[in-house]
Amino acid sequence: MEKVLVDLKNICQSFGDFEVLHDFNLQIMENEFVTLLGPSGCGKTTLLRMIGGFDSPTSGEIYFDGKLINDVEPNNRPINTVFQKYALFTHLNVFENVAFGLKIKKVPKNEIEKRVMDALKQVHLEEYRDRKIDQLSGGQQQRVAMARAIVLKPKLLLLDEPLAALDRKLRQDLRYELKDMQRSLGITFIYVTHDQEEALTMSDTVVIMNEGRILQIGSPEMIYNEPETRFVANFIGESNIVDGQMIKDKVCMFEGVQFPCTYTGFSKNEEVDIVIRPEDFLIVNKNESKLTGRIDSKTFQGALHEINIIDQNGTELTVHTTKDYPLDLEVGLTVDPENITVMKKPGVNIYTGVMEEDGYVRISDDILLETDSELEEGTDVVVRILTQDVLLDDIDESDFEGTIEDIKKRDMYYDVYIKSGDKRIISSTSKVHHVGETTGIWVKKEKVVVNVEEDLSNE
Amino acid sequence: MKKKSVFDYLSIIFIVFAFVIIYAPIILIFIMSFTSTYSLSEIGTGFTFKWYESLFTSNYERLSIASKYIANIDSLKIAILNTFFITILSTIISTFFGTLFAIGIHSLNKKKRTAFMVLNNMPIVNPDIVTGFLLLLIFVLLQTLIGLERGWFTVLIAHIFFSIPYVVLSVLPRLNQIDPNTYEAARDLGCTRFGAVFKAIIPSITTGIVSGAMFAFTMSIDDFVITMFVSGTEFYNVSTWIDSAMRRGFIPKSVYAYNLIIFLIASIVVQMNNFLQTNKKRKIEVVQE
Amino acid sequence: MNDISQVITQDTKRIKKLKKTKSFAIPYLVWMGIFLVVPMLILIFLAFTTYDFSQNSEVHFTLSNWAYVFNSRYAVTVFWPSVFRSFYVSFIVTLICLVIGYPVAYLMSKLKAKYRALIMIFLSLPLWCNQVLRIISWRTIFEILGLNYNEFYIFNIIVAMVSMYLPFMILPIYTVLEKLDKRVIEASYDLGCSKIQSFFKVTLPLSLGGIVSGVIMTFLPSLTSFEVSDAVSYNTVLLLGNLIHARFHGTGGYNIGSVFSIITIVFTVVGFILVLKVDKEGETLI
Repeated sequence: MEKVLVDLKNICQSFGDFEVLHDFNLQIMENEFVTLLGPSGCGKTTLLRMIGGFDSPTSGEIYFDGKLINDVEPNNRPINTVFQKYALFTHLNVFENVAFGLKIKKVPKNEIEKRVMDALKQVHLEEYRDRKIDQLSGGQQQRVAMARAIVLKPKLLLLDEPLAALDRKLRQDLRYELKDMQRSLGITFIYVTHDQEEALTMSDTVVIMNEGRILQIGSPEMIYNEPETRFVANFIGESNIVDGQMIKDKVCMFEGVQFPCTYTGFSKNEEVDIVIRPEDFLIVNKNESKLTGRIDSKTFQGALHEINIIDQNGTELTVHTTKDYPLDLEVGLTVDPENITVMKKPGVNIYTGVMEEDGYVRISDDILLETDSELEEGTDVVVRILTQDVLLDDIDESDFEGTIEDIKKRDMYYDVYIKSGDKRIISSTSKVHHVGETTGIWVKKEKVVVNVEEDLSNE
Repeated sequence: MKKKSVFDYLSIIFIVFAFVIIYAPIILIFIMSFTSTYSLSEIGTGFTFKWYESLFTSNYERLSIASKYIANIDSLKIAILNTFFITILSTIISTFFGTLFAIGIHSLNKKKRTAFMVLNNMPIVNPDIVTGFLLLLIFVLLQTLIGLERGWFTVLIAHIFFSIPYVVLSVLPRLNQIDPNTYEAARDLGCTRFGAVFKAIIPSITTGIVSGAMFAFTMSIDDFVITMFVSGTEFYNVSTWIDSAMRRGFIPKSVYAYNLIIFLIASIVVQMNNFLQTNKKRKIEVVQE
Repeated sequence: MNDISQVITQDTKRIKKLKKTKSFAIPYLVWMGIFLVVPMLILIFLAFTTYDFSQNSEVHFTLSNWAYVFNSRYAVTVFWPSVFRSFYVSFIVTLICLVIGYPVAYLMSKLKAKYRALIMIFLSLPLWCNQVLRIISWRTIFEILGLNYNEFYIFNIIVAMVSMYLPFMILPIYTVLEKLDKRVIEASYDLGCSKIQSFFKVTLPLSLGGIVSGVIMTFLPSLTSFEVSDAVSYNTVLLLGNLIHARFHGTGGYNIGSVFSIITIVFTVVGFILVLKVDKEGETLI
């Protein structure tokens, strides 16, 4: 039976005012290869350092093997780390580096010798045992770092972008080696990277992060084929993301053309985002499809051609094909129903309001929000706040308060409907709340978007 | 070969001029230490080793048989021993603490680190005479408060004080070069907090520590102004001894001999260090090829 | 896994801040507080009182120390003339050091690594020869050359100071020039600069940090030096340093000496701020 090895509960971390991790929850199973994937600054390395014991969360609990380890020092955790740029000890040679941890643990000398040589064999470096670290190539250094960590037989190995410093070819080779090693050692790996290719090829589970939150968790196939948000679709591989509508179940429309798809459960004519991978577009004769366009530019990329097509509405679409087409050719585009991904648009709260002094905007008698705007006092504006940016907190900490009217469960979070005075506001959160509860509400000032009212009519 | 321009010739003149002006007194010290006579008009004649011998044998040196100018070579020997005592002790202590302070400063955030560096660099930029005066004031206060007499101890504290900033400045760049996760890596592999510092960080910054120690040693062995301020009336190092000899009007030749010995030892040590380092570099290059 | 639960309790108290190496900086703050900040406070205290440590006299607040330095016969005839003389001397010393030092540092940075190391050694070796004796040797040299007369004293002081402080001008400039990315210079050629244009528009501005450090490291010591003028002018030429030095044995000396020191510190702070502008971590100071 699968056992939970690492359990992260409500982890928050902030440095000063900057929130690195926001109410983070994640379970990692034994023997799983989990990748934390996200752009730099998304909090993935911070998370890894917390599991390793080098940072402590501002709040929240870290359980390892069922025990709370928040307060365990790193040297007492059965967890080892392969650091970014490896952090090898340059004053020691290869053998001494790998033996370092064993010596600290006062393992008998002959056993050290045996275990170090075993570890070096595993990473194919037996012959380099007496080399100095600065006499090794990047790839070899990476292997020493691996050997130094696995020689201690940790239950969990943390890897912080271990391949980032290497060149492309070597990176590809090492991916398979790492995956093999994880299987043969039977160790749980938590792997941090910003390289989506690495994440997709090695992992059992990919956790996509941005701005300290989980956007999506799933197998590599699921993440690639069914991105849940624009950000994921964009981050994982190249994508065409266009505005569309769900006409009815299994029929969507984009670029003015209706297409069959596999999605159901949306409301009629709901505005959605449509995602189509460049390789999923098929180029056909111009009269074989209602979606047509002109080939605007193309680049040869070795195995495939990347073609940019401007369609009848002037939207640019990217298509990958193995066949070459001449420039300026008018073509039709089709796509198989199962290759169309339909995403809910992120929820937005929209209000009208009036600017007050110092960048404050008044939305109602009770609701006054700080913004970054420099608009003049008295300007009529439209205020937009994404539901995910509406934060619920203690009443004294908040901008205003309201009563929870309704809660709807979404895939990864809850939409909480709150009434405050005569206004209604929706908050997307992963915390559990209850209907009827009074809650404080606040929004970071940079997340409050205000536009002059006339702007609306232009959209 | 490129044709030499006016600029090239000019530059050679500059280098030669720089070396002449820097080395002129040293060359004179060299000559003086081997000249038997005190008379300046006969300088360079009468080659002798006797001043070197007198460093180890004589008790007194006098200008001439009937002269009132007498220098106590025994007290010079004590000043030399004092100098070594202070220099070696202050080098060890300031290197040890300077290194730990540098490690501490390095792990601070940028803002605090800058503030610390301002504090650290103040004694370096402060003229010696001000540093000496400031230290004198605190020692006078301590004398009033706890009866601390000025002597070898206050000199030692003062030397540690002005050496530590140089150690910090030498160690910090090395710390910037090593992997930022060195400490974490050692903790990860089972080291305690102090274990990680002494088994991982310090061994990987030895070059910085050695150059810091060299700085501390050089500054301390040659210090005059600060020692003069804080040494009280009984304690002399070589510099203050020479100064008081000068003020009494007679500098014995043994001082020149002593200085040349130190200078030659230093030259050899520095040369050897240089030779070892280039050799090491070459070795690494060969292996990498 | 069995060991985990045992260590939890003992680790709890210690874990709060894991980056514990930070705490190594705290004793340094205490140390600097005792030997730098407290003396500064004493200095200010002494400058505004008549308090005398040796007699543990009563504390009287007074501005008389300042009046003595700014508005007295002594101020007009001795103090300010000496200060101006000091500025004059150290200005010329610094100028000569810069004019000689910059080209030397520049040429050094162009040499092969082997020769660079050699020149570095030659520049740092004089530090191993006792500074007081080196100054005395200059006096001897001037005696041999027959320059030991009143009219030559200022000149002699300047020469001896240049000899003492020239390495402190060359080393920081060299440090900066050596680190300078050679490709930047090549880029300037590539963009059409002539050699001379490239020097004035790229190399010189980029080495400004070293120049400022070098100037400060030459100017301040020569402004406050007393041993050079004592030895070379046979205690006849008074500079700022000589005045402070004299106060340290004299009667009521510490109070007036404190005023002198504060004035000197003001000059130093100006210099220090200049260094900070170009070099926050003080890399060019060693």
